[in-house]
Order: sequence, then C-alpha cells, then structure tokens
Amino acid sequence: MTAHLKRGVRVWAVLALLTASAQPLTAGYQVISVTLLPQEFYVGDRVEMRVTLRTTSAVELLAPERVPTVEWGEIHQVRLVARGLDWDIRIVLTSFQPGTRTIPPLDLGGIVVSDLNVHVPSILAEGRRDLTTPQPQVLPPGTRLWISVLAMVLVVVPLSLLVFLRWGRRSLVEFLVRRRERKPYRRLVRALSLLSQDVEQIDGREFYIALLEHVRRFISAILETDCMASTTTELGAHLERLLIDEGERLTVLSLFHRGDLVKFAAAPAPTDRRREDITLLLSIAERLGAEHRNPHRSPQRSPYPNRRKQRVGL
Amino acid sequence: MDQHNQQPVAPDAAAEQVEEAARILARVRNEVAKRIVGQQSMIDGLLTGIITGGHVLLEGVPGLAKTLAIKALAEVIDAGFRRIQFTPDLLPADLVGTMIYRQQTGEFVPRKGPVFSNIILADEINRAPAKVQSALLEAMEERQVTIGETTFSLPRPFFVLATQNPIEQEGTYPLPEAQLDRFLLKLAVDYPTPEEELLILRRVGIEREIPVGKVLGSDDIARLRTIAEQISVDERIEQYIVRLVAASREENKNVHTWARYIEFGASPRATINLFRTAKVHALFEGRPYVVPEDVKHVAPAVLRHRIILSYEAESEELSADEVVHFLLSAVPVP
Repeated sequence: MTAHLKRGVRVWAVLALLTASAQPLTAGYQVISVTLLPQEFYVGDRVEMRVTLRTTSAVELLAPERVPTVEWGEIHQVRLVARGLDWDIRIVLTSFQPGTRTIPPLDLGGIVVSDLNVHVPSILAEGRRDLTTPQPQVLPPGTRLWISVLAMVLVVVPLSLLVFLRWGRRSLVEFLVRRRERKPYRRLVRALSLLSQDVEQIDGREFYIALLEHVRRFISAILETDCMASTTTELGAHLERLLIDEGERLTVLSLFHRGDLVKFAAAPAPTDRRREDITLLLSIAERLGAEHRNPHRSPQRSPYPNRRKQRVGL
Repeated sequence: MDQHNQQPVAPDAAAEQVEEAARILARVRNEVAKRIVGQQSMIDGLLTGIITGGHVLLEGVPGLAKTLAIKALAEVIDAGFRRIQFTPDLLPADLVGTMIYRQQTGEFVPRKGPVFSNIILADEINRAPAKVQSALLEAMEERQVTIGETTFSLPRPFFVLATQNPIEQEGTYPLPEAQLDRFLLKLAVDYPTPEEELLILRRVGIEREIPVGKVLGSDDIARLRTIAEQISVDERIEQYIVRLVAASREENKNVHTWARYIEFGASPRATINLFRTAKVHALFEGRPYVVPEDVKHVAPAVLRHRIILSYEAESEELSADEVVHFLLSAVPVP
C-alpha cells in the first residue's frame, strides 16, 4: 500500500467514525399518523396538519424558531405537543396551489422531519372542468317569466284602460247606477214576499212593525233621505216626491195610519187586511221598479232628479 | 211584544172621552181666538200646561201677545188670576206675602201675596233678582208657601205662566238651568204670518175690549186631566221617549256627530214631561193613544230649555231648537 492510499483509508475511517458517533445526536423517528383538520379542504383553506412521531430514542424536541416559508402557500404556525413517547407536530398552513405539496424539512432540535407531504385538492379538479369565462349575474328562477308578465301588464293595462275609457266606462257606470237604484226595489219585494209567507203566523202588531219598517227603508233608499226618524205625517211629505198619483199616495198613507193604529192602539189587524196591504205595496214597488227600468214609459216623476243630471255629464 | 201599558179602556169609551175633551178644548180655543189671532201652538202649549199641571215659560220678543194670551186664557178659565210684573226692585215678600202687625189684636198675622191664586202670570220673570225668582220657583215646585212660621198650601189648580224677553239682556237675571228645568214647557213665540197680522190689524186696529166667556171651570180642567191620563201609551212609544232624552246625553261623538253641541243633556224630568205632554197632544188631536208624532211635536218645547249647549254650538251660532231638531232627526221612530 502506498502512502497516498494509506492516507485515503485514514480519511474514510475518520468519516465512518464521525458518522457512527453522530448517530446518537440525530435520533431516528417513525411517523405514526398524519391527520388533516378539516379533513376536507381546498385551495385557500386554512388547515391544520397533525403529524404524530415516535422517536427511536428519548430526545427532547423543540419547535423550530422560524416558521418555514413555502412558495405554494403559507405556513402560519408550527407547534409541538408531547404525548408520552410520541410527539405531535401541528402545522397550520394554507395552500394557494392544488396538488401534493411538500413541507420543508423541520428542524426540531433532536430530529429533522422531512418528506412531509400534503395533498391540496381543487374544486376544479373535482368538477373536471377548467375555469370558465365570466358569467352574467345569476337570476332567481322565474325572473324572466315575471319580467315578461310585467311587461305585458304594462302594455295591456294602459291599452285596456284606454279602450275602457273610450267605450266601456259609460256602460259600466250606467250598469252600476242602475243596479244600485234597482237594489231597494229588489230588497223591498224580497222582504214583502218573505213577510207574506208569515202573514198568518205572526201577530198583527209585529206584522205592521216589520211591514212599515221595510217601507221606511225603501223610501229612505229611493229618496236618499233618512226616513227612519220620520213620523207618518212627515212620510206623507216624502211620498209626494215618490208617488205622483194622489190616490196612490193617500192609499199608502192610510196604510201607515192603519199601521200606527195597530202598533200603538192595539187595533185588530185581520189577516185579509194584511194580505191586501202586502199586495198593494208589492204592486206599487214592482210598478215603480218597472218604471225605473224604463223611465221613458213612466208617467211618474223620477225620484232621482239629481242622478239623471249627473249621468248626462258622464 | 209586551203590551202592559195599553190602558184597559174600551175603544168606544176612550173615543167618547176624547170627543168630550175635544168639545171642551174647542170651546176654550174659540173663546181665546176672539182675542188672539193665530199663535195656536202657544195657546195649545198653555193649555197643555194647564191640563198636565205644569208651569209654562213663554219666550218671545215684545209685542207678540204673550201677556195678552195668558190674560185671555185666564179669563176663559173660571179660576183666580193674578199678574205679577217682575222688576229689579221686587222682593220675595211682594210675591209670597209677609207677616204684618195688627194693632187691634197686637199680633202678627200673615198677609198672603199675589202668588195665592190659581193662575199666576209672572211677566218678564227674568227682570227680578234671583231671590225673587227662587221664591216663585220654590212655590212652583212645592205648591206651598211659608210666611213667618206658617206654611200655606197654594190653591189648586196652580199654574205659573211666565214670560221673558230674549233680546234685552241688560239689567236682567237669566233663570238658572236648575230653575228652568221646573218649567214643563218653554214656548218660543214667533211672529204671526202676514195673513194673521192683517187679521190682527182689522180686529184690534181700533182699541176696544173684546169680551170672552168663562168656559173652562176647575171641574173641566180636572176632567181633561183625567182623560189625558187615560190616553194609552204603547211601550214602544215609552222607549222612544227614553231614547230621545238619552240621545241628548250621548257623549260619544262617533254615535251622533251633533253630540258635540250639547254640554249637558236633558234630565229625567224631561222624560216624564215628554210623556205627559205627548198624551195631551194626542188628546188635542182627538186620539185616545199616543203616536210618535205627538212626541216629536212636543219635544222642542219640552227639551229646548233643558239642553245646555256647548261652546261649539255657541261658536256656530246654533240654537237649542236646531240641536233638538238634530236629535229628533237622528232617533228612529218606533
């Protein structure tokens, strides 16, 4: 062996001795488990990686003084938690890139932990699609339908209004006025018809109380004057506006006087008389109603002088 | 419906009684009409007071024959009549009497005043001071007078027919509401129609005495009163009367918009008087039963002095008659 070769053997021996003596200084470790919290996370999410280590010898580990930096994201914190013989390395990190990312070696004093990988999934990867171009504002379901309906209403309603104002208003107003005017006649006829059914059952006094009240309401509605507080004589004055025929007016007035007699003087009210009174009032009410429907045929004066004037102006 | 208030008077008998009353009243009206032209409602009001035994206050401007009507009526009635002109210097003793010393016997004896008569005309009652008014109104209410230590009953019948002028308020003593309430009726005397005025001109254009006969005795008054009391009043009419008076006390302006015009409504005395006078009006109309018209006819005279108007009514220059009209137009008749 030459001197040169001898010197080389000595160097290797020293290196091997150094390697052997260094072994107790850098103890071995075994990764027991790696847990990610939360287990499901994506790019940009803050996640805690818990790595449980078991060292081959009893060494005191220390958290690295400096938190390592990475290109693919940010490591926020590295902590160590002793768990008997095991150690937990808790690395809080956020990855801004998908894929498997390697955490730089961590010098924990007694050991250097390396080859820690974290797989960062991506929503895009799961959806199996690439980034799309910017989309317009997302609309709630049915918005287009509503917009269409609104547009139609905006067009149709003014058009309908124009048509109504041009052709329909007069007819509608006349219809409503006639209907309103006919209401008292219909109501009186209906009330008298009902009363005629009970003409034999009810007491004469009660009969005339009901009968005259119906007639009062009728006159009040027709003349648009409250006749409920009017006495029989006052009603006579009101009837002059309603019945032009004096004979008919006096007949109705005598009915009221007879009613007063029955109501307040306990005069008898034979059933025949009651029927006659109902028949009389029904015939007058129906005639007035018919004349009201056909005012041109009516010899009676109108009980609605003001209304007719108003209708001309419509 | 309950008919317990229907008087059990046979219809024919009731009709005969009413006819009898109509004959008596026609005699009185004819006699009074010899002196008084028109003013029928005033005459009927005075007669109503006499028949029901209530006192009547007449209010009207001077010259409307208020005093003349009362004097004429007093002459028609066969009863004592005294006129008392109320003046600011009148004393209660001038009215009710006083104790005077009789030298012969050396004792004080009572000297009865003019109030001791059947019919008293208290002319211009609002010109006397309150104490005189009070003395008269006490006599009206209690129908007795105390002079010294002795109490004397007033003669029967006893009516006070008072007059007052609504326009001259200077130097007058308006009657308090409590005292006004003691009058059965307050009659508002209005101007005669032109036709009536022409007749007045022709009748009394030349000053002369128009004689009237005494056609109404105390017995007749008692008879009229009995007949009036027998006039039948249905329960529904009674309820109507109560509703009318109650409406005057309605405070809820949402129920009656005109309620704001009334400060204080009518008293229960108004209800009683409305009931009594409606009967007499039915008698005047020749009916043995009361109808709502009777009530409505007498209501203004019974209520106008019993309703105290509010500031709102005064600010809108509404009279009590207008407010009573609102009331009558609002309460449905039975």
